[in-house]
Formats: sequence, C-alpha cells, structure tokens
Amino acid sequence: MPTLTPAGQYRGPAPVVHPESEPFWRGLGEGRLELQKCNSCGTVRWPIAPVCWNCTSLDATWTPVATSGTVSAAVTVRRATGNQVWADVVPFVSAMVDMADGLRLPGRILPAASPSVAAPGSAGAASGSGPVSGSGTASEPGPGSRSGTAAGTAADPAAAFPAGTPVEAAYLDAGDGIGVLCFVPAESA
Amino acid sequence: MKLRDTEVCVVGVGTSEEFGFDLGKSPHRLQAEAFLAALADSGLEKADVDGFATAHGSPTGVDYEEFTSTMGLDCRYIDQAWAHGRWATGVTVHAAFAIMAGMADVVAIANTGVTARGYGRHLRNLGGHSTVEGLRDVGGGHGEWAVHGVDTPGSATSLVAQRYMDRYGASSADLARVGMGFRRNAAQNPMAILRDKPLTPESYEQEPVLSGPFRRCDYALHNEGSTCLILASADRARDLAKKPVTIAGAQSIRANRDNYVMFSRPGLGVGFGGDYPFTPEPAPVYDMAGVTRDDVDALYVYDSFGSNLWMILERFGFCGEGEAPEWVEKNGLEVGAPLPVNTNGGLMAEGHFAGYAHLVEMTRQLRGECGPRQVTGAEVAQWATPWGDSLILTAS
Repeated sequence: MPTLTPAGQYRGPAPVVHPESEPFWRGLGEGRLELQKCNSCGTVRWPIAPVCWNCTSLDATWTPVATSGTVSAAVTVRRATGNQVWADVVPFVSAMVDMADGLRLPGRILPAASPSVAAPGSAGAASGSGPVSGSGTASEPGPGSRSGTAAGTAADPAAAFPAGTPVEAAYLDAGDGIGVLCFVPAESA
Repeated sequence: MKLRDTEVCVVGVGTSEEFGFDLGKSPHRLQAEAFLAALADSGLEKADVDGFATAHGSPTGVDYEEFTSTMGLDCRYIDQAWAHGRWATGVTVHAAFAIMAGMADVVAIANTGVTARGYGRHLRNLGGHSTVEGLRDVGGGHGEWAVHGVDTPGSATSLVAQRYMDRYGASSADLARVGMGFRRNAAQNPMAILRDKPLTPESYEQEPVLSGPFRRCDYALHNEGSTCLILASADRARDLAKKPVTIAGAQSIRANRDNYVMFSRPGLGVGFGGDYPFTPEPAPVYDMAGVTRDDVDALYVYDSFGSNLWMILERFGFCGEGEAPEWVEKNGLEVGAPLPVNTNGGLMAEGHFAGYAHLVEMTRQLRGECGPRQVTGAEVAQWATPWGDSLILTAS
C-alpha cells in the first residue's frame, strides 16, 4: 500500500489507539491493511471490536484484507464545521468504499503518490510543507491547492469519483508508527 | 415490577422565552425559563413535580443534579440520557413508565442547548460537535468517523444523501424542497429562529455548499434555547389547567448493524448496513395507539438534515422505496398539505432542540392552540426519526 505523507505531515485528528486496536493502526503504519478475522467462524470484524458480531467468539487473528474496492459514495467536504483541525485541510473528498471482499470502509480519497518515489525518509521524498504535485510523495492538499476554486464556484473534486470508481487503499503516516487509512484512484496506485 | 393500568398524558409544555443563536443566557437560566413556563401551563405547583428527566448536553446543558438542587425540586425519579434526538422517544417513554410504575406522579422533561459561539464562550471546555461517542472505535454518535475524513454528522449524512440521490435519481431541487417547506412553516411560528428568512429556489442556490450535496440550509440550526414537557397520569391530568394530550403509542430505536445511525434507513448500503431492496417493517406504534398511518393528521420528523425526511417517509411506509422526493413534491409539507410535516419549522428552521420542541408543538397542535399554523381538527400527531423510533400523541 502506498504512503501519501512523509512522517509529520499528517494533518487530520490523531486516532485513538489503545492496546486492543493498536494492531490496526500499526499495520497501516507499515503499509498493511489488517482486520480481526474470527478464529471460530471466520467473520472479519469491522469496526474493530473485542467480540465477533456473528458468533460472539472473543478470539481473532489480525489478517490482511482486500485493498482494492469501488466507491459507494464520495462527497467533497468543503467546510470544517466541527473539529477545526480540518479547517486547513478542506476541501477534501470523503468516501465510503465497497472493498473487494465485501467490507465497506470509510476514508478520504487523495491524490496518489508518484509511483517513482521511494519510501518516506528516502532521498526522493518530499520535504517541507504545502501541496506537492507531479514529483515526490504527495502531501495532503491544503487550502487553495485545487485550481479554479473561486468562492462559491469551485469545481466538485468528488465528481471525479462517481459510484463504482475503482480505488486502492493507501495510508497517511500519522507518526509514531501509526497509519491512517485513505484511498487513491486505482489506476495510479 | 408491575405497571398500573393508566394512560399517561402531557399536561404542560413550555420553552425558554426565546430561541436564538446567541441569547446571552446560561443553559441553566434557559432551562429555568422553560421549566417555569411548562409548570404555569400545567397549573401544577413546583412541589407536585417528583420526577425529572433530561438528555444532558447539546453540547452543554444542565444535568439532573444541578437542576434539581438549584430549582429546589424534590424528586424520587430521575433519568438522564445522551443529548441527541434519538433519545427523545426513550426519555419520554421511560418517564411514562415511571408514572405507570408509581415511581413518580409528575415528571418534568427538560432539555437545553447552548452553542460554543453563543453563551458557550463563557464556559470552559466547550466546543464543536465533540461527544463522548467520538472516542469509540466504531466512530462518532452520528456516523461521523473523524480519523477517516468523515469529520461531522453533516459529512456523514451527505454521504447518505449522495448515495440516495445516485440510486433513485433525486436532485438538488428535491433536497431544496424539504428545507423550503419547513421554512414556510416557520414563517407562521413566532418562536422559529428563521421565521423572517424565506427560502426560495433562488436563495437556496446562494447558500454555501458545506459537504457533498448539502448546502448550509440543508443542515439543522445550531442554536440556544430550552424546552420542557410535564407528564402525569390521565387521572391527574383530568383536573389540570389544559386539555391533556395522551401519549398513545411508542416504538423504540431499532438497533443492529443495519441500523447503525448515520441518518439513514436500512437497505441503502451505508455504514455497516446491507444493500438491498427496502420494504419497511410493520410499525407497532400505530397498533399501540389504536390508529392507522392514514389517521395521522400531522407528522413531526427529526430533520437534522434535509434528507432525513426521505428516510423517515420510506421507513414508516408513507411512500415506497425511492419515492419520497416525489411524495414531497406532490403533497407539500405545509399546514394545508394532505399531511403537514414539521408545522413548527423543525430543527432546520425553528431551531435544534433534539426533538423536544417537536413534542411541544405536537401538544399545542392537539390542544388547538397554534393559531395561523393550526392543523384543522388535529387529533393524531406522530413523531418519527430515521432510526425507527416513534411516538404518537392523541387529543384526549
């Protein structure tokens, strides 16, 4: 799975990570999308939970799940009306994604990292702040980073992702080995 | 535990003197105004109130301890729930049960909202939409999932609306029709915060887009104010000041993976829910009330977002799957419509009071007190939410 932010450039809210959920966030931080698969009946749990909703077993194994899917619905969030941590991130595309194995996962759809760029921290990684396009690992787009966004007349970035659009899971490096799930257009993953 | 064979009635309703965005009054003050207004409306004395219930916080309100102690109440029944609108049914039903069980004779249900930009400026640690549910691994209390970019209930519900519009071909004009209808109702309600602000197809287009298909006016207001309802047994109600209104029927929130909140309905394929053709479950609220859906004279819906109305109309079978926008276009929502909806203006135009102001309005409609917005001959009023909970109030 591609990473879309060099460490330290993630700008969303910090995940609440506790011992029982930690493997999910650490897995993402290492580029793996893993969820709990029930040791008894095989049901994959979403959301993360201490118990299987199907058979009530408490036992599970963190297991890789499908990383490709199609858009169920995508919207452009234009204004941060709640947590103001998002005020410098809007507009962004938020989506529900129907994964190939039947799960439906939430996440932002972000511009893809350039496939030619190496892992964060290596020579090719972007440094500094602000949007990076075309070269280097993409950081998160900031305000005004989309062209033609005059107030009230902005094009709709989510319009590029109608229902059925194929996407691939990716992750944002939130630091401390923690990753946050997001998606990129499939053709660029 | 045995329940007495008695009906329970709403015997008093009241609100703070004003509803607004920045009233300059503490939540405590607003709630005192609403409680005293409801008490006066009922003709009861303060000492008659021996039960108190509140859905605490919106985002901050007045908890049961501070209210009973500062108001000088002596209560033997207390209930306190989360602030959101999905608890309006439960809090009211539990208060009725308490009266039926003899745990209390008279229960006051009071709720207050104060915003971070209003009086909340003076209060510490208040801000935003944050709720304790936001800390859950399963995301926030309204389907928002901040870490994953679903930052507010609005963005969560905009995904629901986008999915609905994609699937059934509903348009922006369909969405606008919901808010415009409620706004027209608000024009007849002197307490409605947006009573003097008409919403037209032209002004709708000028509203800023906040998320997905939602413009600002497709969201509920975020405002200050307080409501209070007073409940008592039918026997007690008979001797009081106002014509009693009976709590005739109720059904709870449905809770399962198909009903994880997100302001949707089952079958739409959002959240953890399945994606399948939708047929509504039977709604026992009608049988309990001894009425049918066709008997409902006015419908009151939890309109935190415009698309909620579509979910509720389909969930309760007022129309078929995907037909709600056409139903709204054909029937209208106004007082003169075949089925008036949110005659008070709802959360989107009167103000967000988590449903309790809808219950105040239903009571006043069933008493015939609503003046220019009175639904002629109103005898049956229904409260309904996207999650399937519902109350039916009837004129006694």
